[in-house]
Amino acid sequence: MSDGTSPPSAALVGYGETDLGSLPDRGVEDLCAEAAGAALANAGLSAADVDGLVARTPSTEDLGGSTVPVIAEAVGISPIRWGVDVGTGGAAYVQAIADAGAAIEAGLADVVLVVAADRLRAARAEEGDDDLLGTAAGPFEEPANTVASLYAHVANWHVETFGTTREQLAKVSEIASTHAAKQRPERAHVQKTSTVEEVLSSPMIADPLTQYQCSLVSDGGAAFLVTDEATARDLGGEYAVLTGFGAEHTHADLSGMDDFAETGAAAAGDRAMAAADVAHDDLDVIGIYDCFSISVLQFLEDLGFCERGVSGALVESGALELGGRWPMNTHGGALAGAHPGPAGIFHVTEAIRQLTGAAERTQVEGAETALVHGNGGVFSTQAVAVLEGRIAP
Amino acid sequence: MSEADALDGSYSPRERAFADRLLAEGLVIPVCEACTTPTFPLPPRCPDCGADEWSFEPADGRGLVRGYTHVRRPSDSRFEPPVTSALIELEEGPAVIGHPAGDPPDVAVGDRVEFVEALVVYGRLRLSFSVQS
Repeated sequence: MSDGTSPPSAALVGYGETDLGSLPDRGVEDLCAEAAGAALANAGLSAADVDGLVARTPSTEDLGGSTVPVIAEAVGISPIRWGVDVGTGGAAYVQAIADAGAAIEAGLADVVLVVAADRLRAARAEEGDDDLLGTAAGPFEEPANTVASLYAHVANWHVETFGTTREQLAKVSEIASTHAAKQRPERAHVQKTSTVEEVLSSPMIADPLTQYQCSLVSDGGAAFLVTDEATARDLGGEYAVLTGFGAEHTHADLSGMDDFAETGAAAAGDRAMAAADVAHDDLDVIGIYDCFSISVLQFLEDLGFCERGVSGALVESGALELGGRWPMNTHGGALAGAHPGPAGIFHVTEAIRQLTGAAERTQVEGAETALVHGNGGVFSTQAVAVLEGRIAP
Repeated sequence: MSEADALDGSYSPRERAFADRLLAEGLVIPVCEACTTPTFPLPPRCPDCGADEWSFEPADGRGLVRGYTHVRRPSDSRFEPPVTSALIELEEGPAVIGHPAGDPPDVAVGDRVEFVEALVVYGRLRLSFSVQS
């Protein structure tokens, strides 16, 4: 029974991903089925073993019915005894670990599938949209704004308040591309490293954010399986467990954000790390939500990896690259790995890969403890999880 | 682009009523009659005390730029880039996102701005400000 500070018990026993990039021939249900099938195979489980679902309503398709039963049926797990549709944007897949763990601990399900897929790239091509930046501006928020331009307001604030340079912002994208370029081609949308200069000279979207500093537009999806630790041990092999969790959802529109200088990630991260009883030195690998370059700078500060205002220097220090103190987004993130919509799920599957020795060319040697973070809206929703690798005896 | 243009269908009834008020009266700030908290835009309930009784105070019109951007890829292709947007902290407390006018305007964090007018552009409300040099 959770004592209120410890997170619910949750063991992550399998993960699966579709190809990532441009997949015009696969719909959302197909992508979900593919990801779920891969996760089940990875875990050594069958669809019949799954009795709970965390799903996501796609933005590019009308599923024609309630999301949970449609996706449950598409992935072959119906009937289920517990199901939920996420609603916290990019924070949802980190929060889903706790959602699933809480349901399992309460006896409402034994094995929960978390799955999300979408096809922003195919949808853009089909609709002939030049850009799918999303009209995220609220009804009272300058109608020319998009998601990207709203984040850009915070970027200029950071630059002018702290002296952060455009090169430091761009370096975030360079690091992402370096990690993505080490992935198998089907696993990362970006196949080559972009230098800081190339990032800066990509088309300007909303000053200072250039295109390479904004999320990719991709197709694809992923899934992971959550169960209790006893079952994980029975399944054998390596798995990850949730040792700390925190969430903080603070505002809807950017104008509702009290202070650019602190998002909910600060409180969420404090709670997660306190519950896990870890300090930053204990973290071997990190996943930081990277919808835009500025997002990473903000969250590094909120999560205590550096003092407020100096994340630019941290980004340039090498600490966040493979071989550094805190290798970050070793899959390439939303900036260079994939962003089909539910980009945050890949930060979770990458953490599982790292903690179970399956991260291939970006494996952090001996990775035992990961911090995974997700963000939704305009710095609106935040979730942080600390995960530890385990080996079944 | 004129006040005669109608607001599009993305406005809820409450939002439309408040937008119409801004278009008619200029920048007004909803103030909770129960706890005197100012807020913007008009929410269904006071975020501090939950009450639903409002007075609408004419804003001084002055504010400070907390953040801004020059939008090069606007949401609507009818906008001619760049379009400048700023998050403005009003004297009264609430923050609004507005449009510092200019071609493009010379804006920096910390700049003083003044409200000019509310108007409808391509079906949506714009709050226009001028940058005080």
